[in-house]
Amino acid sequence: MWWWWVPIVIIVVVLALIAGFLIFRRRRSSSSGLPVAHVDRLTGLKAYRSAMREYRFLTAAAVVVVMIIASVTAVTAARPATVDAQQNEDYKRDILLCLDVSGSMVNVDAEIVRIYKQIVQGLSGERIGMRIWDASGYLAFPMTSDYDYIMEQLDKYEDAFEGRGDFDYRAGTSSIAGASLVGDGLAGCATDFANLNEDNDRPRSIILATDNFVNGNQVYSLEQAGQLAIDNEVRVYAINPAHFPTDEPSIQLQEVVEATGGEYFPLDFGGTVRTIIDEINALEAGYIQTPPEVQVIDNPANRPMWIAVLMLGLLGLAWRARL
Amino acid sequence: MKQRLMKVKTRMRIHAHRKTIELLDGEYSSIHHGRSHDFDDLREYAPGDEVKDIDWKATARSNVPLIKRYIASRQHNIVFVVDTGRGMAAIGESGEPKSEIAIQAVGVLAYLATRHGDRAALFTGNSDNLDHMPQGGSEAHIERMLRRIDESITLDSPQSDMTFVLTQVARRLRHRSIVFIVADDILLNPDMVTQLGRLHARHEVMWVSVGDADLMARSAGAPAVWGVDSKAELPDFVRRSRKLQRVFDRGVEQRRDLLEGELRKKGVAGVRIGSIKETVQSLFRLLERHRRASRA
Repeated sequence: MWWWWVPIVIIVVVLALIAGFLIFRRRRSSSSGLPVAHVDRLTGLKAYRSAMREYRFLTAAAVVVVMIIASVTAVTAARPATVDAQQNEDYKRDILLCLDVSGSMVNVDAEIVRIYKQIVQGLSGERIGMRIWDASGYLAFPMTSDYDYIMEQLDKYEDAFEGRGDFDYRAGTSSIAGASLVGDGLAGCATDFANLNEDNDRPRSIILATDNFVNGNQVYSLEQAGQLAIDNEVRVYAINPAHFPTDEPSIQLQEVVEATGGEYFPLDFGGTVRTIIDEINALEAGYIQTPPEVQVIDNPANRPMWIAVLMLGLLGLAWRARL
Repeated sequence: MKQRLMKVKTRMRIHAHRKTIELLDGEYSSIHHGRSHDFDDLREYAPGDEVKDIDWKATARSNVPLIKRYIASRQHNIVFVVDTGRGMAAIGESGEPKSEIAIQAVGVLAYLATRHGDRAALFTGNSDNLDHMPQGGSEAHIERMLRRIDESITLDSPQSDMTFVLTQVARRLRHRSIVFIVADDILLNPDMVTQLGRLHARHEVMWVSVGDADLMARSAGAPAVWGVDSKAELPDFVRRSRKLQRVFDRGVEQRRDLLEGELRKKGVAGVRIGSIKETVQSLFRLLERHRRASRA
């Protein structure tokens, strides 16, 4: 890329020649203006010589400014561009928080929400939504990347679970008989994602918090809900606050979520949140395979402004020197 | 065709009152010193005429002062020495070409000379050459003189050299004459002063300076100017500088005073003419000064 300055040099040389020619012609021209005699009445004065020095300085400055303007204009006219490669991986994931608010979970829900908050703080750019369910469920807040809003909502639910305030999170969670219908809850969560039937390049995941203690008749069994998640390309990560390695519900939950490609985490209150986030990030990273986006961006920087400023300067000089 | 002379007369009558022209005529006759006693005729008195020429008897009869005119004992030689340096092709104080102002001055004086039956000769010169046109008294002769002046002054002419011209004129002018020097707006150098002294010793000498143009641009629409010697345009930036204008004006005034002082020291009457319009008045002032200087 050495050749870019060649036209600039040519332009500068041509302008210098034109300026020189004009100045020379001005000196030798007798076509315009009136002839006067005894110019030494003026040119012999000391004040004339100093005024002339000032005039020459202003003229030279004007020529220099013209050349700078020409160079900057030439550079700008060439439309300098920057190549920008962007990997927008942070904006690719949809995550749904899926929270069981049945009676067996009441004691730990506030704790789970705090874990959610930590998870949310550990992520950035992903779209996050939340569904709350017991016998039936509702969307607490839809998919959004507005993190302030997400934190506000999570705060609201945390307060509700702690018994503070008068927000009733239970409204809408028991419209049918039964309690803690995990299959229905997970099925609801698995269908909450956008564009389910279309080609999708946004990895989907559910962070499911439940103890899998079902009480009542479910429309979907947990396995069917898991299959629905697989069909919708959703990975389910489960957090179980009541993990017992030999207990049937825990084993069932673990099998179902691992079948979706997700993982199962027993919740110990010593705090394995960091591990959960890391594991989610590590697992998800594999699913992001978008090529870097290459952009060629015109980059005139502040050159147009400089041209304007220099033009003003030139006008000022020309006015001052009465060229 | 006497175009040049016609133009001179026309301009004279446009710019000067008839009374003023008569005054000038009177002043002109006063530069004659010697006169014969052959009576010619009577004419009305004009200020400037010698009081002793008034014919009192005739005046008493006619109610207007009349003066006696005599046939001139001899014709006077009027000699014009015109500077034809390239500076004379430049514009003068009024913006008119200085050559035109010079032609007007010479024309008016030569016209008066023919009216008084005097004969006029012409020297034109610059640093390179000196031309001479011998004596003549006709209007055709004056027309030729004026044309010669017009043709000799161009922007390509050599530079002024009044020292050389005055030296040559002093050497070649034998007969006692009345010499009008029409020069560029110059300063007298010591050599010139010497030559002027030589000339003044034998002849009656009067000096006419054709005033130079103002070099500064004082109004918004002042036209560009360029020096006839350098051929370089004077930049507007310099010509509009207030400070420089003050210094320049002081310098120009000093030059004027210097010339006036030198001429006064030599006893030579001088005047500076800046425009065609003021030619008659200026010449009147010149003749008046000359009359006073020669009587003192």
